[in-house]
Amino acid sequence: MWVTAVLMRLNTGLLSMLRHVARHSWLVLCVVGMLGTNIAVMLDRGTPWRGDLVWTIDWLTIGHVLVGPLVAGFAAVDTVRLSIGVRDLPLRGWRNADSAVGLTYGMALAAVHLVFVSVIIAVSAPPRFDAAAALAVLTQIAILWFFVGLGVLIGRFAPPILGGIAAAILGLVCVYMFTDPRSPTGLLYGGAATVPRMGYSYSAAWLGIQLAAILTMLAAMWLVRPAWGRSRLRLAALSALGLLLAAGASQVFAAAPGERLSASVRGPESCGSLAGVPWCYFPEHERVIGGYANHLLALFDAAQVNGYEGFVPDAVEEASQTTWPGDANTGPFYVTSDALAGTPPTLWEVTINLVQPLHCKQLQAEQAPADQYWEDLYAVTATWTNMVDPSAAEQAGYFGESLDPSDAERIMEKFRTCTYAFE
Amino acid sequence: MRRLAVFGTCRMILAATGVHGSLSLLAVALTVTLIWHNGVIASIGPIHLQPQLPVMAAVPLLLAVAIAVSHVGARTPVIFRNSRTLAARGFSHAMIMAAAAIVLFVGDALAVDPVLAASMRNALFLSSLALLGASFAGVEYAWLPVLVAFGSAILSPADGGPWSPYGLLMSPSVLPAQIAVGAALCASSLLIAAWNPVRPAYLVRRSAERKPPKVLKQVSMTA
Repeated sequence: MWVTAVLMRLNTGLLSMLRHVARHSWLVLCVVGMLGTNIAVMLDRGTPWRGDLVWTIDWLTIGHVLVGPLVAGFAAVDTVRLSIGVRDLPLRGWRNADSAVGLTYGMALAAVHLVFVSVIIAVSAPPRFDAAAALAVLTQIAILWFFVGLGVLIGRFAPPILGGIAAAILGLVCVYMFTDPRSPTGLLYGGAATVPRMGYSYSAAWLGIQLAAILTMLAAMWLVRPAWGRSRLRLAALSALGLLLAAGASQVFAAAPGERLSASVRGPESCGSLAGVPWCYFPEHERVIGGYANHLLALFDAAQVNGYEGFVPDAVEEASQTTWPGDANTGPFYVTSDALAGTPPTLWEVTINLVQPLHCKQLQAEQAPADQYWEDLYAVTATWTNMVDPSAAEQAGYFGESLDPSDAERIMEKFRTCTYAFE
Repeated sequence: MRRLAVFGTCRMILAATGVHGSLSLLAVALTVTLIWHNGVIASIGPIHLQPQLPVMAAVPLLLAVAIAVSHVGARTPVIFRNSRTLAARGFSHAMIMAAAAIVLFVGDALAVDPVLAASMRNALFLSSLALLGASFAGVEYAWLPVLVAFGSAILSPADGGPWSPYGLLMSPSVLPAQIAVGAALCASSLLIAAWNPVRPAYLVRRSAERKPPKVLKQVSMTA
């Protein structure tokens, strides 16, 4: 078998080398720092990511601002330390101290990242999966490799004392410069989302290009190494080639089509009935949906009892980051990050989302709506909440009187059909 | 002539150890200060910093490590540990500290908005951490506590009060108490770093040599 032959050829040397580096480097400390940061980041802000697959994976990389420089710094320090004695030997292939450190760090961090992502996905327990999510996790691993590569690159050239700080500062600079989601230089953007991701799914083509670009960068960084003997020309040639590769990779990445996330085709698939009104919500939000159901049920009951039947929509559907499902017959509701973090939704917030016509083109225009629009919006909302809980409007800061059923339903009808005079 | 000799000794103390590393970090810090003294960091990737962080409040990151690496402990026992050796260590750290302070004053003089208080507070706390890291783990690792402190300050919530990581390193409002505590920490860290507790690569005199010779003792007894 040729596979076995290749493995034999790689021989025990590679394995023993990796084992040696794992034992004698600061890898364990680096992994502890990375895991500590990851755990602290995941537990932050009431863990609202639970249930949402894309958000769970994307939330993790918030910690990269610390993990990235940490990994780069440790990789640099270990490259400097473990290169002593073999730095100037003309060894080929992976038989360099820096390749040994890079390979060991890369494999270990990838394994730790995979295990950690598996654990948080198990905790998150999303009801729906997406094959492109695997690519997103792979890209996050490649981002970790980028920091390893950066540290190893610095470690090849830096004096012993400055290796760590130089790599850590450069890692921080890379995080600052290359993780902006809106910029074409966001090569190291791995999600880092603090807003919900409902309604988005990963764009596999974009992630694939990002992955390829980062791997090309890694190859470029691997090329640039101190010359053997007096061969400065070789160093210059390899550095030029590395720069060329890196420039090419960033150009291809900048021209990548679309964005990292695209609007998901999967809508709110869990459906039921509230006081006879059919409603649908995202199964990812099952754990907090009860709070919304209670408010909606109370609102519909109160409207029917008090003679405001026109308030009750024919159907209710959950809004996401990319869709606002309001129209003449459908009323939307929106699950906030606060609700996902454990704060129950307020009656006012649920009601105003049901009333305000965000689906109308007039509201999506640049021009702000007239003051009369806000007065009517708050009046209708207060009219409805007053039937359920008279204190809700005052708690939200509105002190006007309730409207008559005919006035209120007329405004509501105009809102739903977008025939209201917004200007 | 004597003054020249003192100057030469000081220069030798600085040059013999980590001052080259310190000078390169100081040079980077000074360059950043001269170019971006008015700059602010609005966001680091997707994390928005509100209020924004002045560049001059991040420069102490470099200065702290420069201070910590300004005296590298000996790895081979070639010198004796005595008050002069320890004073030389303290001298190196203090000199680079003074240079770092000058960089911060230059930044404040150039900047439109006052940044000295925040940058000084950050420099005091971060250099304490860096000095402790250098004295207990080695100068190669001085960056580690600095990075961890700064990273956790970025990641931690802004409403943790003046003694949280955010309040100590990111917040634009500086309390006099923070400066006082920072200065006390920095002074004690400087003493610890000068004392060089866990790097005892010093020549040790044989115990017999340290004791006064027996003959002298007898002489003193008879006299």
